[in-house]
Amino acid sequence: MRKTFNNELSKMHVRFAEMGMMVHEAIFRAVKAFVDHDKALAHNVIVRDQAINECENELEKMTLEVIALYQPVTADLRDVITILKASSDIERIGDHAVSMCNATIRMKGSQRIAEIEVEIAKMGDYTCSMVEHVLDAYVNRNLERAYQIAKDDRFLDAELRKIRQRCMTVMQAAPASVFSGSYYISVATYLERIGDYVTNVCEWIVFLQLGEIVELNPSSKNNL
Amino acid sequence: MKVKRIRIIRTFFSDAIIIFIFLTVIFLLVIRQVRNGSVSAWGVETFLLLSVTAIILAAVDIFGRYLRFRKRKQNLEALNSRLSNIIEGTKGKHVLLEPSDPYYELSQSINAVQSMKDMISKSFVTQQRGYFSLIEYLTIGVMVLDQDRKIYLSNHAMSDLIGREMNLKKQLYVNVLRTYELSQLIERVYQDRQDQHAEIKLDFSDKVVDAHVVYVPVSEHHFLVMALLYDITELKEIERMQMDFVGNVSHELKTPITAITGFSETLLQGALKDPKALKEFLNIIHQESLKLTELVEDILSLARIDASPELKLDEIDIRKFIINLLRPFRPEISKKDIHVEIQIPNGCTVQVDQNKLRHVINNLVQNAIKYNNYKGNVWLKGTIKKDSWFISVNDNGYGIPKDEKERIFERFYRVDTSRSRQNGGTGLGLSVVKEYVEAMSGKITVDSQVGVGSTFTVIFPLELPTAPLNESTK
Repeated sequence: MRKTFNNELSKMHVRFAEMGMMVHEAIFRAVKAFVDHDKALAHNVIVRDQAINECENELEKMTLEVIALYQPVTADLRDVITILKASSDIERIGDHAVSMCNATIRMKGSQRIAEIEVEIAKMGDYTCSMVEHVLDAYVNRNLERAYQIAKDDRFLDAELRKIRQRCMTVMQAAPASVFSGSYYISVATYLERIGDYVTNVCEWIVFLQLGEIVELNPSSKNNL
Repeated sequence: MKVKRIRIIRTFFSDAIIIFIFLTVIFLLVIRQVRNGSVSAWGVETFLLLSVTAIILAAVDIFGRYLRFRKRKQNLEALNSRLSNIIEGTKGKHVLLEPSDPYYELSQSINAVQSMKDMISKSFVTQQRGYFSLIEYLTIGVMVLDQDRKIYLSNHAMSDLIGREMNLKKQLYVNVLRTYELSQLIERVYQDRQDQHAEIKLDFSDKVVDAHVVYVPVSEHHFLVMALLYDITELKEIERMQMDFVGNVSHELKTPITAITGFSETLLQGALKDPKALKEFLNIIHQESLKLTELVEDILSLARIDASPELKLDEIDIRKFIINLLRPFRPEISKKDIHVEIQIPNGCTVQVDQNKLRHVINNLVQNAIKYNNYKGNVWLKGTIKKDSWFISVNDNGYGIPKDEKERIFERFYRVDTSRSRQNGGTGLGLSVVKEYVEAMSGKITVDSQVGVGSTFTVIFPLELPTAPLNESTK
């Protein structure tokens, strides 16, 4: 019984890690496509998102089955619940990567604002490394790292405010840049939202280790 | 060396009894011979005498036996400890026994086993070392997984290719890997128990690899999975460069030739007689042949650098040199309304091959203007540092995507073919620039982002190496 349960658990774990890989790749590629104005790559990310969604459904099914069949308790239950909850957060990160790619495709050919492109590139790289770190922290069950990453999310919030402010200024001065400016703001918002989902995953890492449901960075959600 | 006391006593008594009976029998026999059947000699004294003699003899026998036993025991223990040393793998001395010893042959065999084992383990260690360092320094990425999906070993090249530290033994590979395609491939091997093979693009290190994931059965219930990544980035690059080169050259050559053929044909078919058309067409033919000349010259200059890397050194002032150089660009600059700013201090004199440097800077400035927006900016910077000097050309024009930064120095490479064709040019400019800069023992770097602009920087050493430059260019 214990052995089959462990088998199921490790199968779920592998699937979850694979999903993490896919999402990490998706966000990496989405940022790259945006920075390089690469429509083909953006399209590629959109197509691949299907696989991420399927993976999430599969994980959902697997976790429910495990709960129903094995009725896990304590740490095992936390393991299963964390996979269930964190996978939906991670799937949302994938969705945001897709939204970013859609923006990249629609923006092609519009007038660009150089200084904001630089800022967004910076923000994108930062978000990407955050996603990578949170996956690492999850697999290593690293509590301190999780707290640290949740703290790092504040940088993204600050960056979003900065980008929005600058976009407004530029758009007021030059109406030709309104089209791209509005997209810049939404892309920055996507990145910031990704940061929030990363924070959620951090919360699940805390739950996994301590069994407490906590809210990291509660204030960051107010200014959206 | 402890012998159970009870055993000694028991042996002693049995010895004593046997000897006593023996002696009694002899004694009785002797008496009968001497006295003819009289038993009067048989008394307490005789009995005591016999028993004491028996006891002494038994004691002597036991003592002798004990000594022999002790010797044997010692030898046995030495041999035993030898064997256990062999099992534990610690090194010990050989056991030497006298050839007369009953254990002599056994000791010889044990010594032989010991020598053999030493030899085997030595060659095993050598083999293992060799094997591990071979794997470690292999340019192919290798990762070996056990059947619980844990990393058994992984080499340096693997970490390089994946772009993360992979040599985390006993970790689940899915926890470490970040490339979905590869992990899927490995997972498929675990499920199907069949070798898998695919070409994978690794995002994080920007490499293309030929991935083989191999199923290695060890015994009936045990197996290993081995992932081998062979870096084929360069191969792919060369393949693509060749294709591009052929495609580009034929395209670049074909456009002017088509125009020349087409217009000359029209002329020959009767347009000769129309003076207006004649002039117009001849003009076009002339223009196109000029383009061809430009192209051929570019190719020739590429060939020439390879052939003759000699430098004619002159002393120049960078600022004056740049100002002079910018003069011919005035019409283009004013046409696009570009603002050019020179940020070079006065009095920077360096030794350099003027013609080559002019060619380099000319090309860079031309690109900065050509691939710039209307009302763009171009900044020219330059100064002398401790042991080098540099000139950088910075624009806020179209910019270059990250992937293509290295490729722009390839011959005939164009970033965005649709746009750059309209702007003219042969696609050879930057590759010539790179060759020239390297011929002058300099370095060219590019920093760029799409939509933001590009900065090209050429850095030269203050003191040129005196040795012939043939080697450095090749």
